[in-house]
Amino acid sequence: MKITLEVYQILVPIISIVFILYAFKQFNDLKNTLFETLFWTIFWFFIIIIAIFPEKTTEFLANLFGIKSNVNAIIFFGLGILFFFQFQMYFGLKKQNNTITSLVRKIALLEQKLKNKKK
Amino acid sequence: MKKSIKNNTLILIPVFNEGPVLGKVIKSIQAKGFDNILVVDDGSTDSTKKVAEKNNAFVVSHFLNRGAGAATQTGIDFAKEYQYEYLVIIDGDGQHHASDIINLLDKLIKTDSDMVIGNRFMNKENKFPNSRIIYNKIANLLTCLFCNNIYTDTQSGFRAFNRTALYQINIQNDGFEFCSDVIIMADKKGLKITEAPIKVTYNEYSLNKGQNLFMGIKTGIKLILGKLIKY
Repeated sequence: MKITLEVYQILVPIISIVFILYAFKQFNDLKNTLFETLFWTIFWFFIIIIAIFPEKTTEFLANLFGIKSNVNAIIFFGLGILFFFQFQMYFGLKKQNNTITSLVRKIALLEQKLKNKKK
Repeated sequence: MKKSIKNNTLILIPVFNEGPVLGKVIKSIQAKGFDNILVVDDGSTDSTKKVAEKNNAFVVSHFLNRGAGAATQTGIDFAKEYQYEYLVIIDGDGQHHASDIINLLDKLIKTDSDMVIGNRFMNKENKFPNSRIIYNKIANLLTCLFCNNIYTDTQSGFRAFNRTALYQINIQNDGFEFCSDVIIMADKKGLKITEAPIKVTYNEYSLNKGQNLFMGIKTGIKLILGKLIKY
């Protein structure tokens, strides 16, 4: 059986493996949680599978979601992932904003108290 | 109005770059017999802080601009810390009239309310730009969707609170959506909210400073998102 691979089928898995290794390094450096590391590992592993078996995986996705064409399935799936990340970023940003506000407010009130004490 | 009530009242002015008009606003409040004035300077880059200090107001300064909601919550925390009985919030751009502070406090005390909203639309003498009318109507509709009662000026920045209300309100949103948030929060917690007519004077300066239709749409989206998605 002759297996022919396109250039992207080699490049995408290599890049994905680099990202998986990076996720593990982040976990090792205590910068990522175990959940985040597992999530990114599964995500990049899934990308490798799609790159190596594009027909089979997109066909599977199309059947799973009841979408007629493979291309549409991958577009919908991609959009879903993008929305998920967008929401994750929105929550993260909002949480950070609230933390900054809380700090700014606390510092402002503390400064005022100190100023009052000096008087 | 009794001097003891005035002494137990904190007048809060949350401001961002209001240097040119702030002095006049503070003096007009002092002229009505209120000496406890707190200016929360929300990271201004102009003379706001100096003007407030020069006019003998208490000043609390945010070192970063965080928005009107954040500045207001800082003022509420200050009022709780120094145990004021009443808090009146007034805009720093000069659109509100200091004489209405007494009206709001009177209404708060006489009706035994926890919060009084200064209602611009109850005073027929007030003139509004059309964009403001549309914006306010939409904002009222959106806010009342989440409330048990109907309020007709949910975006007014001129409000009075008693101590009970101060301990029930905790503003989570930094931006202008806090106007609706405070009402929704107070309404849900069963606080008694009333409205009293106030006079407003819009000039070019105050119109440029306040919320416009674009900001209103942004505020509306944030309000709905904030209510639908809790994180």
